[in-house]
Amino acid sequence: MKRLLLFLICVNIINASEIDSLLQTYEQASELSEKTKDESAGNLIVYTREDLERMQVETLKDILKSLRSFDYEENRIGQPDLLNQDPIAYYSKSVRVYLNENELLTPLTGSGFLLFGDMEMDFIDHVEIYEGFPSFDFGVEPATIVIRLYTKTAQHDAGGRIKLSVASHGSSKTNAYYSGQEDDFSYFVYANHLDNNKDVYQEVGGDLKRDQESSRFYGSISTKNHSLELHVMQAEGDAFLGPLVGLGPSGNIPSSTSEKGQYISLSTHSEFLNKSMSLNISYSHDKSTFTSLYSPIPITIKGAPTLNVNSYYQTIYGDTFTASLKKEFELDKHSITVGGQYRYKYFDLDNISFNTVPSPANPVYNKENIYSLFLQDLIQLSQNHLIALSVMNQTYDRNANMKSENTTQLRFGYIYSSKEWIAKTFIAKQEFSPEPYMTISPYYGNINLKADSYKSVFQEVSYEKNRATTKLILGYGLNENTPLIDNTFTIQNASKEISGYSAALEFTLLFRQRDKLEFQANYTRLESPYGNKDSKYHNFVLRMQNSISQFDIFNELVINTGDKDVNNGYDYSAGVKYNLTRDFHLSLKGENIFNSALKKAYFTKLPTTLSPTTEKVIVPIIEQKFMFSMEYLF
Amino acid sequence: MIKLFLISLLITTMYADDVKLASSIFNTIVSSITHKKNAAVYLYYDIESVSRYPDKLQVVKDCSIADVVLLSSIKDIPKECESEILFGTRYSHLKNKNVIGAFFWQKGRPNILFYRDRLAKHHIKLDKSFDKYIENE
Repeated sequence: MKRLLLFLICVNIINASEIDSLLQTYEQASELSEKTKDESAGNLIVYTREDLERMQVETLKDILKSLRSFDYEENRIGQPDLLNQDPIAYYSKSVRVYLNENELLTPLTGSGFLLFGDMEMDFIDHVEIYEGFPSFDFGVEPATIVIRLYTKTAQHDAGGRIKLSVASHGSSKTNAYYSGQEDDFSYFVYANHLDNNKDVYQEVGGDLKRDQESSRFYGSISTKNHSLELHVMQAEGDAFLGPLVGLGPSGNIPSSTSEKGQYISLSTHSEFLNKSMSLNISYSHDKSTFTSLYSPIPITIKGAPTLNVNSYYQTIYGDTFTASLKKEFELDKHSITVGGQYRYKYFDLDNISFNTVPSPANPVYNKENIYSLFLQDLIQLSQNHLIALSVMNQTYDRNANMKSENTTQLRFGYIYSSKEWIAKTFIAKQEFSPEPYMTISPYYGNINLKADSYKSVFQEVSYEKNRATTKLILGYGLNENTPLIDNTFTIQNASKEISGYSAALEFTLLFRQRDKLEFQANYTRLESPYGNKDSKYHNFVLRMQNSISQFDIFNELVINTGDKDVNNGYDYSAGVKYNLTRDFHLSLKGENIFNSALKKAYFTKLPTTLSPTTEKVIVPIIEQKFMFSMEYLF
Repeated sequence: MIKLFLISLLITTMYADDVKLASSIFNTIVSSITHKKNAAVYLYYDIESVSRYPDKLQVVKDCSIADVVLLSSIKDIPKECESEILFGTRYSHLKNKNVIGAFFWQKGRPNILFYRDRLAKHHIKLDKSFDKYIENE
């Protein structure tokens, strides 16, 4: 991309009177991701605004389904859960999502990925994904994957847009944004309503549904050094299998399920001392309600006061407050960043009823204070060599009788960069404290759970020449105390260390002025914590973006093979966008066009052992879907 | 800043490029307005791209000797500047009838817009490559 731009810049310098091409070149060179991305922070994947628009990325899932070394997964409630380990409802505590400078968070689960891992992208300018235990200066707690979403800004998007979409199964989406700039401040407001309907899966006991209806409001107001953001979301729909897993032969197919979710956050970002110091403050409140009916076939639930459960109802409340202060110091060859961060979490999952009879969970604790400090030193050895040293420590202080915890992360990075070559080496040791849902869940929680730790080394090498980039990424990780479900349906730390290996080869070619060809081949192997054979997983991605006259055309093929306990899958998606005028666009997109994408298996009854022969429901994670959209800018 | 080590090699260059490109666009616009190679511009208050990379433009500190006044704000424009050729950097600057045109971001893309009557009032004839950027008010 850089070479293309430099080439275009040269062309424009030669022919400076061509104001049209000068403007076009300026638009490409002004891509906001060029100003926000941090190559030293991890193994980085960037989806620019142009990528998102030309690929017709409707929700975050559309890019996560081809994520290097991972495949997009959802839990048994139908919520995003990238690292899902069914029947545990949520396993992605270390996948952290940020909207601009503040983390989207739900306190019970440790990260907000389950609420935001599939949110619509119409107000997002670009996405940065950092893999490989990324830099500590992103947040209060450690992460394996950091997804940074940057909203559109009034500086570039003054004016408005309205978009209408219709899709398979009667789905629809309507949204609008408007932004403007005054002398002293700018503002951006966005509202969306999404009606996302999916296939119905008929099982003995009931129909499984995953339809969702959601609304979102996002608004920001910014001055030169300060910004204030308000983010409100409300969702309701079907909860697929529901959070419960039944004991005994009757299994746990519900006759119906539902969920409702509400989220509100208010956050600020301020910069001081010539942008060398920053302060982020955010508050969030969330509420989730789950209902499952089991009629006429009742189920048996671990932890329930009755053997025959016909109905289940639970409301979970959460509050978080986060404050983060960072300061950078420039000392000769050293760039030192010091950060102090505080996070408060409150969670209430006491409101549970079985057969309409209240059955409080009486959790051991419901508040957590996290104090986090980090220090990072970036040492520029020479023009081509950089060393990054980081250390971070958290203290988890919990109320009532729950033990406190102390976790530490260490990270070493070496980066070599020349005109054509970039090599990045990252060695990290990270400890992850158990999140509340793992310790106090009435179904599988274990208050004695220890922190899980990861030692990892990642090597990335990339070579760029003649508008072609080749990248190789090799990774090895040794996981200790991995949280796993045991045969009594309780989360336990794995008794043995688990090794994981990953390799990824990527090739990107830019041709003509705006066309792009991408190929990825990924391999992942993970030792079994149960002494079974290793899990091996391959994934291949072939993607092409073309612009012909007023048409933007997108083709993508994602192939998943390997030991995923289900059939292999391939997902072919394609789209065409017709730019009728500069302000009026029509789009047609097909997702999983041949209905052959990877499927996922969910337990239909609590396994006594995690044997692959246990009864499961198998459904596609990415369903076949066709969508028609129109958008108008004003 | 060392944190931007890689970016200094790969990215900051790009950032510099977009600032330089913005300056190139201002140079082209001012040259077309004035038909001068080294036109004098007065910046009210500041326009980063031009102040950092003036290229062929002469940045002057006195409005009265400027060929064009480039505006980052239309609030409290000094009286001595009001009679000069005013050019804005936001669409909203065109609300001021003395502003002949603007170079601004809108709808996710950079735009240039001149109003025909306002150009005529100052007897300005832009070269043909700007025809598509001239509109009736």
